[in-house]
Amino acid sequence: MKWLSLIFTTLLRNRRRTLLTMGAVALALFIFTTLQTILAALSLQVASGLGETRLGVIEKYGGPRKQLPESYWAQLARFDHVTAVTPMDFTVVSVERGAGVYYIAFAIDPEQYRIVFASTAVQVPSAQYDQFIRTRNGVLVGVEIMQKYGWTVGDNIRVRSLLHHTDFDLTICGALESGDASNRQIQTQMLLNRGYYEQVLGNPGKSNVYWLRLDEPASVLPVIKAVTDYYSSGPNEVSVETESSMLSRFSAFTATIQLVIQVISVVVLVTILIVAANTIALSMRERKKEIALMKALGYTQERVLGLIVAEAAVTSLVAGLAGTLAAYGLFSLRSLTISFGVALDFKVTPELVAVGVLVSLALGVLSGVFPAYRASRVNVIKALHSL
Amino acid sequence: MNIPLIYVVRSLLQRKGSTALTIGSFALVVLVLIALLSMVRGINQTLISSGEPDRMFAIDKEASAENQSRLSYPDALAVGTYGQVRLDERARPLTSYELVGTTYADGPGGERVQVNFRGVDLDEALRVHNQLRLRAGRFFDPDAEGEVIAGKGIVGGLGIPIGGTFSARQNTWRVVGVFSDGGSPSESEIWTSRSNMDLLFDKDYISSVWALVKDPSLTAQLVTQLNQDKTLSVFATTEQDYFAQGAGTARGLQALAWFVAVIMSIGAVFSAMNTMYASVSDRAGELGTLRAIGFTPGSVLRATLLEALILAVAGGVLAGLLALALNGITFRTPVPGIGFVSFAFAVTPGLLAVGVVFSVVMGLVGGWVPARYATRMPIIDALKG
Repeated sequence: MKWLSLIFTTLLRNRRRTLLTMGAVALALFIFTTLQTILAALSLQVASGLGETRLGVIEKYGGPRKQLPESYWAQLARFDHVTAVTPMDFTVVSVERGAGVYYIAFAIDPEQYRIVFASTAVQVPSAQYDQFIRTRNGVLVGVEIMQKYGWTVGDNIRVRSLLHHTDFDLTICGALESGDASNRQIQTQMLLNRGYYEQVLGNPGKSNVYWLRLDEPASVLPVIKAVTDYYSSGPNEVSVETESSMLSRFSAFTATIQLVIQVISVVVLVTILIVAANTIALSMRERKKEIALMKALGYTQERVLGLIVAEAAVTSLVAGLAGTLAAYGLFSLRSLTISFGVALDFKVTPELVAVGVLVSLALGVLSGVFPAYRASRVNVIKALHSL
Repeated sequence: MNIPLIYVVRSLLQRKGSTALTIGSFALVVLVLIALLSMVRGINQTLISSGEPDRMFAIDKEASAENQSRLSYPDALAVGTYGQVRLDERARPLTSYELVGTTYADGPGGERVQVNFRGVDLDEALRVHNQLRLRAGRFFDPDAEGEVIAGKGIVGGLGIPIGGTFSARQNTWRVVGVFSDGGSPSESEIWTSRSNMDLLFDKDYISSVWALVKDPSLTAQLVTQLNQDKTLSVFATTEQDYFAQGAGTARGLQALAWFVAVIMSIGAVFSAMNTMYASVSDRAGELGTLRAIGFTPGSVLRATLLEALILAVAGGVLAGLLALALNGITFRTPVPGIGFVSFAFAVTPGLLAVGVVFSVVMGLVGGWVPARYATRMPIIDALKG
């Protein structure tokens, strides 16, 4: 405790300098957190593991925006090595009219989805999922949407599909929760029963994507070839893609931007490291005599070093926290932007706040070490001479 | 009377470390700005400046890009019958029927890039794409299977010399020439004959029809007329508008550049203030003496401000030198609707000037407050210190 009060006293002695340094660090951490938030929103993580045996079938030229006939469903299920197939249609729905908040809803076949997207389905309690299969107008709703509107399982809700200008009356059968951080977007999405979806829309008999589950990873290439060849003469040629290449269709456009943002993040941190180190060095120059006196009074070199580094760390930590929280405050006004099938969700997660705090702590320590080391080795005799 | 420049310079050299760190922080902020803006400029050069005002093309109404388009021959022929289309000496319309397919290409070194193949009738195409020039090698022979010419933007990405081969769609393609096309996105494409596309790409239709217009002022009129013609199923657009749709990325980057640069510059200004305050209080006695022997507060202010300016200019120049190293470096990125396109950082003298000016503004802001502080110190107190 006594060291802490010593540190604060020293910091408060040159308030202007401490404030300027803190301002610089806070701004840097604000940018850093903002950039990382943009990055997190842009990056679509691919479900690993089981995703390796999942293939998407889409229209060859138009991609998933064009639709494939429903007859393909049964045909695709007959290919060797294919264990399950679910169609997946998507639409954009709103809960409150004119609120400007939109969610992605997928219309799927519940029983097949359970096999094809097992890792997602398994997060829903088995009884709830069974209920979803049995309920024609059932819906699984992402937990974040449930919380936002205070819904519980069993509620009847009405959402409006913006693509079809149609209302869906749905009964909530369960909540969708992501098992790990890799598919967090599921928490802001909805899954509908395809049967009901088709009925409301007047049975268009089309699907944007067919997802296949294969028996083993080794079947991926043969199945891609077999399916592509089979439909090469058909009315709708198809493109068969692995889940990662499917998602990379949507994320490739942002890959360059992501790289740019990463580079800028690093440059921002280096810049601020220089700024912070500069301040400490300036302060050390001025306090040379004082440090010599402390050493003369019996402070060891390590203690002096520790005190100075702690001083830098405290400054940086407080400022970094302020900057990170400012970004947190700015982005907690939750907004959703839509691009295909992916809600770009600009939100500062608690993990990101933690990263920001750790980064500012590291920044402080790193900026303090070198000037502190130099100062702690001050020659006591020489410095005291000039007193 | 002014304080001599040498005094200012020596005072900076007094604190070499701190001076260097301040210059470094200025340089990094300015570097981020110049680098991002030169990236934006590179994208704009390719996507906006390269479109010709008298060139337009039409694709199928249902398609959003050339590689998704399947245009019927009657519709393509109809485009050439419009009065605005330029005619050649034998009164034939200057149009080019083209077929575009996107696929992955595997270079000899194992690089895999996504690339647009464009099948053309060479004579037709060269008259319409009148900036296209052969940079090396020769044009493909339309009757030779698998001969292609590659845009200069793609050659580096695939790493193939002239005469070299690469594979795509289970076929082997031989590069017989390299072309440039006035910096347009087609420099990132592979061009071959339409019959090669038929044979090896399995596509026997056309994607688009390109045309030259008699006069640039007629381009918009022709596009409107084509789009309003109910008997045709085409979507017409000027080359400039089509390329410019990909420039959204550039606008986003530009916004990002200024956002980061402005906020970081405030941080750098704080750093400069710290340095200058330290410099002023270090020399309190000195500045007091200067004032006591007759230097005016104005000259002390100018000297201190000059010190900050030297830091700023040095930072700006350093950033410019570092940025020059980026000049010409190419990067490939997919552009919605157009496909993968190569861009180059374009560090122009104008951008370097922007960087130095930005740095000088930071220096002035960061130096002004401490400089005022320096002139306001009571002489007596300063001398006592």
